[in-house]
Amino acid sequence: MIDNLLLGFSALMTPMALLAVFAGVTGGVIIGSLPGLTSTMGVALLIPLTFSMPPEAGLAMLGGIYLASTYSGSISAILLNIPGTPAAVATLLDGHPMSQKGQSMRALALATFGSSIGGILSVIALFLIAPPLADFSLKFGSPEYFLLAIFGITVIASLSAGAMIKGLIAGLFGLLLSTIGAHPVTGDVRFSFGSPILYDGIPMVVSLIGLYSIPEVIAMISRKQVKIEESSKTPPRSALSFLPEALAQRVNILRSSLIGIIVGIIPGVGCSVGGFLSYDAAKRASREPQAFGKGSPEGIIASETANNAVTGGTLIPLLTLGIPGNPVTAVLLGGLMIHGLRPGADLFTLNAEITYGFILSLLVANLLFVPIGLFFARYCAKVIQIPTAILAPCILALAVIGSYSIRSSLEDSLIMLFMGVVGFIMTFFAVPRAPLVLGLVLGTLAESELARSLALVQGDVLAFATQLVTRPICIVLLILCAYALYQGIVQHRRNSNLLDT
Amino acid sequence: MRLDQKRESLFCGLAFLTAAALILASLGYDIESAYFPLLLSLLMGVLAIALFVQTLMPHSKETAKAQTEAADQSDRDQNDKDRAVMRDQLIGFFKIFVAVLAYIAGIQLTNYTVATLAFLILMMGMLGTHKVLHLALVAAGMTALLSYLFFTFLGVTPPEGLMAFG
Amino acid sequence: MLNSVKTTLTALSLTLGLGFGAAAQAADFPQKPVAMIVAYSPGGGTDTAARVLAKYIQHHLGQRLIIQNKPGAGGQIGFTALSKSKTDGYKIGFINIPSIFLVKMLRDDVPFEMSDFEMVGNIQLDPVVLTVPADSPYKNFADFAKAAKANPGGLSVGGDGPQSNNQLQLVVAEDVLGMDVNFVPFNGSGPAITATLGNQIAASVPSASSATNHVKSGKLRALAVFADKRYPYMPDVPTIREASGMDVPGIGASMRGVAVPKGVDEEKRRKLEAAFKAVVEDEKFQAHIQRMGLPLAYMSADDFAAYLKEAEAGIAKYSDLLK
Repeated sequence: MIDNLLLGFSALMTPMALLAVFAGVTGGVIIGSLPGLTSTMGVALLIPLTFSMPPEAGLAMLGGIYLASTYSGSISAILLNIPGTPAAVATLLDGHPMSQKGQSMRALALATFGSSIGGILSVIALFLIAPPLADFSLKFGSPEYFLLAIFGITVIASLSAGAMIKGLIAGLFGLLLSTIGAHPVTGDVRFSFGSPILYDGIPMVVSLIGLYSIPEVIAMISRKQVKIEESSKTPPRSALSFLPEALAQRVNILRSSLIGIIVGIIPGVGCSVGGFLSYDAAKRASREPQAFGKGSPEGIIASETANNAVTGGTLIPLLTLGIPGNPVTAVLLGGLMIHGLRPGADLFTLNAEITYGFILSLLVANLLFVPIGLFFARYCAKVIQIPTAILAPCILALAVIGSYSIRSSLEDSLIMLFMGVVGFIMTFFAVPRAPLVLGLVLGTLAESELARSLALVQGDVLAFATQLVTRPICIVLLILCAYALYQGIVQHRRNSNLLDT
Repeated sequence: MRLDQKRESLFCGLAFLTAAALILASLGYDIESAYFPLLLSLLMGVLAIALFVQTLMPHSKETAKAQTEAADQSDRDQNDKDRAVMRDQLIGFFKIFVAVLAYIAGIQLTNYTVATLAFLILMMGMLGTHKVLHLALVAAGMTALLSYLFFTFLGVTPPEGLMAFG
Repeated sequence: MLNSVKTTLTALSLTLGLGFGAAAQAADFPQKPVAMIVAYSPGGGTDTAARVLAKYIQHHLGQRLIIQNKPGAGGQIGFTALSKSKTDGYKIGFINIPSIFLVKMLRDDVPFEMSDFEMVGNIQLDPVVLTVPADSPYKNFADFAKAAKANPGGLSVGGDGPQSNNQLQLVVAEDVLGMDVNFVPFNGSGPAITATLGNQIAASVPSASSATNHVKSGKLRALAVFADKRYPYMPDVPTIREASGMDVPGIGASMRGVAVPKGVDEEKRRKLEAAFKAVVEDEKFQAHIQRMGLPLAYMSADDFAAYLKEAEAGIAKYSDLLK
């Protein structure tokens, strides 16, 4: 193991590789913080840049972009209530309220430190126990994915505390939106109004941009009172001063990282689900659950630690088995292949130097985005002080071009506007949006895996039901779902006795 | 009914109509392809009704007292304030919606650069920026920044409008 | 009379001038970068292949090749965009066969026709392989066929789908070999392979390029490749004819070629053809492709067009089974 470390070290310690990591992290921080630019796009579109670089440098840069952009989505989530990347949706639930109380720096610092630690822990997992974890990921078949999606959906209940029925309706609507497009097994196209651009459904990132940017801009221009910026009156505390607070949440960090790593190794689930699941778990375990949604530091740390831990997790099946778990790792796989590297045993033996160099570069990237991110965030915090008359049109322009660029399609900008209308309607009627996002993310997974499970048993529903209660992982997931539902009911009863909702 | 009850009921109505529309649409497809959305929309319709019922029923002594004191002057003031806030929000929504729609149409009619410059200048002006210098600088700077970031740095193809340049 | 001579001379010189002008234009073609529409998302297999092409073709084309991604609807959006593009020769496209046929044949209201395109050349050929997990009881194709025939509709075979070229190949194979298996669609060859590795399905029909790594590392066993020749990166895998004794047409094999919208100047099209032929023969390009494990199978513009006419009939015959 030490020799592997040293091998990696020697590959990494070249000026080119280090510069590549630095460039990747800086680029990633900027890309992730802009709503409209996502990690996938950043990695995919910058791959040609790496063509002429040696493999270690090219991979290091791509890895840096991946990690840094997953983290930096929290910057705009906290400051503007607009998630910069899907991974940051759970962060805005508490990040933005904390920022509104004038504690922007605290929220940003907690998010940064949490992300970094989560990322580091997941890289360590990648380094030490990749093969057995990868084998575990293979045990996930369609029934397991279906139950995982159901479990994720039960989290909707915890995101709707205080407005249970409205939250459920939002979640259902999100699930319904995800059914737009071709059915994953029959190929039948639903709800597309004959427009080919909807054959693949409503793109998730486009929805996010519309759902959060438009209502936020509307709120900005219709707010008559002066914005409360207490932080401009008191001298801003340095970010480092919040490090002890972050580190004090040991249990939260460890649990969130674990959830993130596990979600990461299961192909096809994704960073945002990791953030939500961890947020939910933290809320259940917390001594102050009612603070969640109003600026709870635990919520921010849970979400950000988990979504960065997912990144390391996704690299485990990628490097050991050549299985990409999300669009970014699929692109990374392409990147690996372009540089002539084949995932599998070869990667750790023949190409050991490059591989361990890459893993170490991830570690460096996780550390590097702390100073770079906080430096960048401090300037971003100033951005929200720009007069609304200037800021609002700029955000809208970014939203339009951002949603266009994912598929080079202006129709996507229209879809963004439509989702913006949906978002406005929801904020107008005080319906929480996070459940809709979760429904949108998990709906496709639930529907396709259910259809696929049934296809695998030739439509025999009884056989499928038997599978659900006999396969070991399914049993665990069923217990988790049951527990989540039970807890949800208990909490709801408790809440409705305290308040009168 | 109180204002907030009216608002909640309106939402229930919207949700119910959406659910009904989706149920009708789902029935137009093969059952194998549509059972998922069908079940979900049925559930949504049921929840919309449940929410409506919950909104109308008093839940505790507090809300029951509030209902009997609805004629109170302070409540009427609150209602007026709420109404004003809602009206502002709706006006804001309308402005933004039309603006963004016009912007997207503009990109198709002219090209990205022209449309973005026009959009930024017009919007900033509408929202209250009067200094021409600010308008020009921000519009030009932002357009240049976005163009560079997306079209040059990331290599995305610019949207094709009718005007060749840009 | 003098007037009409003047008129005739003027007309003649104008025509000659225009002719020379056009020829001169075509002779200098390309004078600015050429854009190639790729109907799939950045980072995917098609896009990656296109970008590698773009990297090495500049030298042969004289100008840069810019990739424009127009993904969506299984390629329909990109193909439609290509069919409607300007015919000045600066807009070309990277097309996938049989996907472009399947999109046209399996859907209503598709706004392009195959006659809207003219070919420049084919670059890649990626056939479908039949794979099973390494610990599967089926050691060769005969074992698999026997089990499939003994259990009609019972054996689960996964693949990209629905209505993909992989499913097309499977359907053709079932028809010729007299088997009936249970096709289970996945969201790409990758997830289908994952399911195979995890023993969730009995077998899968991924693209050869996506299976290569796994077969090489010993985790996946390839029983046969649906092509006339053995796959260069997996030379130990028998062709379907060697493995079963029957001829299964390889129309499900994924081909990637270059096309232009109909109406482009013949000279320009030939120039493009020459440039792509040159890059395919370029040593550096070949070395890079080898490192990546992507299979080359060049066809000239005319050969490619002829092949497509032939394939169309075969695909039409089987596409009904995919509906």
